[in-house]
Amino acid sequence: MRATRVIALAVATGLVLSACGTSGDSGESKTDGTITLSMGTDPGHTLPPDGTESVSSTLINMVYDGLFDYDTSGKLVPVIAEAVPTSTDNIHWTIKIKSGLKFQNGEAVDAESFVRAWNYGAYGPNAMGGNSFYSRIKGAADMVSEDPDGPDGPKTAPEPKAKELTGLKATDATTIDIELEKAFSGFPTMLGYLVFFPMAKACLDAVDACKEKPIGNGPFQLKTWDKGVALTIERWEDYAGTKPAYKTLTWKIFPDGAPTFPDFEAGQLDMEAVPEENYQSAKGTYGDRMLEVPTPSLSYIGFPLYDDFYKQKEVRQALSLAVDRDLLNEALYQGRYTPATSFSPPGIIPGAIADTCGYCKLDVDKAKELLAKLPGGGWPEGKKLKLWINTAASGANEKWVKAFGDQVKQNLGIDYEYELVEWNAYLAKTQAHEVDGPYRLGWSPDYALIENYLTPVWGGGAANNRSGYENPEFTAALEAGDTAPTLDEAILKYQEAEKILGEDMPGIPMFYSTTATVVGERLDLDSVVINPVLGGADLRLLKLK
Amino acid sequence: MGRYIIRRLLQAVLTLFLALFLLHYLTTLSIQINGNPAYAFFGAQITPTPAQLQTVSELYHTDHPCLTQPGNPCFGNFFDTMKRYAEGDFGKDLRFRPVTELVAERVPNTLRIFAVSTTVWALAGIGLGMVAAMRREKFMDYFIRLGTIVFGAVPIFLVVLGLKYVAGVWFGGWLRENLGEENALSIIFLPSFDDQHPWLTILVPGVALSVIGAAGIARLMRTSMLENLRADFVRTAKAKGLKPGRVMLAHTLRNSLIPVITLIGLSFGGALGGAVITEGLWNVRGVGQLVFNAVRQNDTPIVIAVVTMLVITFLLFSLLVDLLYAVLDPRIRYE
Repeated sequence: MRATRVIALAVATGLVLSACGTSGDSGESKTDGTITLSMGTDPGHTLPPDGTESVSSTLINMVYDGLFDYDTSGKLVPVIAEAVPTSTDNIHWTIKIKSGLKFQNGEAVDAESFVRAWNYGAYGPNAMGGNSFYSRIKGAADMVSEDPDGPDGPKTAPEPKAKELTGLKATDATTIDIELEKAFSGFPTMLGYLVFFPMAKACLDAVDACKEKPIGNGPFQLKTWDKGVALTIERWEDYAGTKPAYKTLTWKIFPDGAPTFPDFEAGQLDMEAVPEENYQSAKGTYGDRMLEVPTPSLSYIGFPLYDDFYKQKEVRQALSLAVDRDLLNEALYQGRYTPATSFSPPGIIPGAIADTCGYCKLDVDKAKELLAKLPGGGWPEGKKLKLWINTAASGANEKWVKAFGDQVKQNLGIDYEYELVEWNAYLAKTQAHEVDGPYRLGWSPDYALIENYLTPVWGGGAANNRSGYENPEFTAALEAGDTAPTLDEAILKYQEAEKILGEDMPGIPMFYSTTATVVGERLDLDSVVINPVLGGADLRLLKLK
Repeated sequence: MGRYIIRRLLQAVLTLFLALFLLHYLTTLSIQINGNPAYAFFGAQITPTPAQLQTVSELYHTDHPCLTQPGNPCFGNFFDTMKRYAEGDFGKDLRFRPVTELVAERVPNTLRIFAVSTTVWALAGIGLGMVAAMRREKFMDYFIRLGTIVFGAVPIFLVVLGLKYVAGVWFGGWLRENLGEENALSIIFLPSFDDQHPWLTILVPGVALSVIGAAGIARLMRTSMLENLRADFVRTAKAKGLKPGRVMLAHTLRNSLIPVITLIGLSFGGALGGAVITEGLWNVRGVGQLVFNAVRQNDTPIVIAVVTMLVITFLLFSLLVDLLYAVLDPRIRYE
């Protein structure tokens, strides 16, 4: 009896308090409305040449416009550029840009604004995350310098020889002339990536201020940013392109690991990714308001090719043949992921095709046959398969790598052990070639070209990739792709290169992940277009109901 | 009293020094074994050039050669670090923000959550303990004791996650549907912290956090009260003809509070740890959340700096508790 009275009193108090409050956002029209989403952390790298990490790139893609954009099939769409450029020798590229475009501070978006941004990014001491993306432009090597005694030594790296890329010029206000170090037919495709976005002069004059309040040229401008709490962008009314159908977007910041799904369920967020553990219930609750889209994000196991044992191709091939990817997909991800049969995701990234990997299927007999060819007639007696895993991602990685080990044990009778390593150490050890067994890693594309799955991961020579893989044929095929006269021909060469990987197996492609996103009642479901290359919904296109 | 205070202060300084050195040594060892934390700055998609690594290493003071010699305690670095701490420089996070600034903007919310928890400790912990003691072996006593066992046994993250759904999504959803979004009760029962309503939205996680300690405090309060109720000086006070209320407050309660205050002091330490989880999961921008994030992002400089600050705070609390003894207990005062 007494308890009921307490509740009644509490509810009454609530009613009185509510009467004092304002009556919500009922007076707002939908084009002036606010969309609320979550963000995993404060963006830390808000300059375009630095925005390689996902949270920062989300912001940069809303605030800035680049030369090109990628459509949902990964094709280049000119934005600031007049057209997709062509080149006779794939070394010299001329890009014409539209005139009359402005930054949000009134400065003109001209050829110079691109040159200045790229030079800033290419200059080593600025420590921009996208530094390596400029390396194909002539003169990039002179913009970075080697530390004489390595990063841990007491000496500092000398100043680089040059401060500007010799291969980059703004011939006039609307023309950018680029000369590359070596021919590269896929170069325009790279230019859709945000590290090639322009920067205003005022931004470089006061870099620190510009990190806090970007001077963009895109449809939105930053309104408020309360670190660790929320970041709000607002439609830029002078934007020359298609204006967004809503006024404000607020990202509530939920640091990595804080659950966001309850907030979506409580109606506080308009769109949210579905966590693994909520997948089944969300599917039932949200029906067609839950969108499932395959991503180009690859999970793979790399081999240490600098290790004598794993130098043997048969070992690598056999391990890949011993794993039933379909079974793991069913058991671990309710069959939602795509088992990988290639080193790049078919259907998402232009040029990527399925079945380039001849050993990405279960064939235990063949695996045993291959192992029998080893000196000693099989897997060495008593040798355990040592798998390297990093501790990040709340054990999600651990789960599938262990399942991989279980498969090998079950099918080939090889015992496994694993080494759990903290993320720093993991990165450092894989990079320094100190890992002595197969290691887990993932790859997501920077730009929509199959080459982005080959050169950065497996190319560059044995010393420069994590696995220590080097095969002259592979290098030659990549080179042939880079120098091919057209992109279509280049893609054929890259596919050849990928087939060489499929034979050499410097790594085992495992899955391409699928994301599930739930869309709240306030949003127009048709306006949610998931762009697989961007790795999520195109936020510019959202509409309120 | 003066000598007692001086002795405690000296102990506190020594403990602080040892704690800081231990932290330093563990960090050093971890860098020596695991490699330069600067790698975390770049992540897996980027292979940093030596120049980039160098820049980042210098920024976080991880470029010293002794950090490549496993086992070397790096005394030089320790004194450099202490010097920087003494000057108020606790370093920067992976996003170049000074740790002191980060902590400063987060202290208010942490104080809020502790204010709620302390209130719950005082009201629920001490109150329930008293009730149980006075109704000894009766229904209320059994009920409270059973409740404390249940709550003492549930881990904090489970309480927080459970509340997120039960209070935030289900009950809160019902409230929002029936009372409207702007209603104070609807706001109290949001599933995470909202900076627009810092006091209202901190109540639920504050109560969740107080689960650490509240159960123990109630049980200790009960035992302590029972002991004092039977004590000679209480019988004397009663025999003297003092009013029951005065006997209860001035004689029984005051003496029973001595061990309870010790436990509250210790519970603060536990709650600081609990705040990391509660603030992290409830998305409260507090000091605990800072640690929660930093751990998730391998932001070692932040973890160390904040843990250092927490160590200092905890030592200050223990000192305060010890000094409070002297106020409450004449035997210590006149030692």
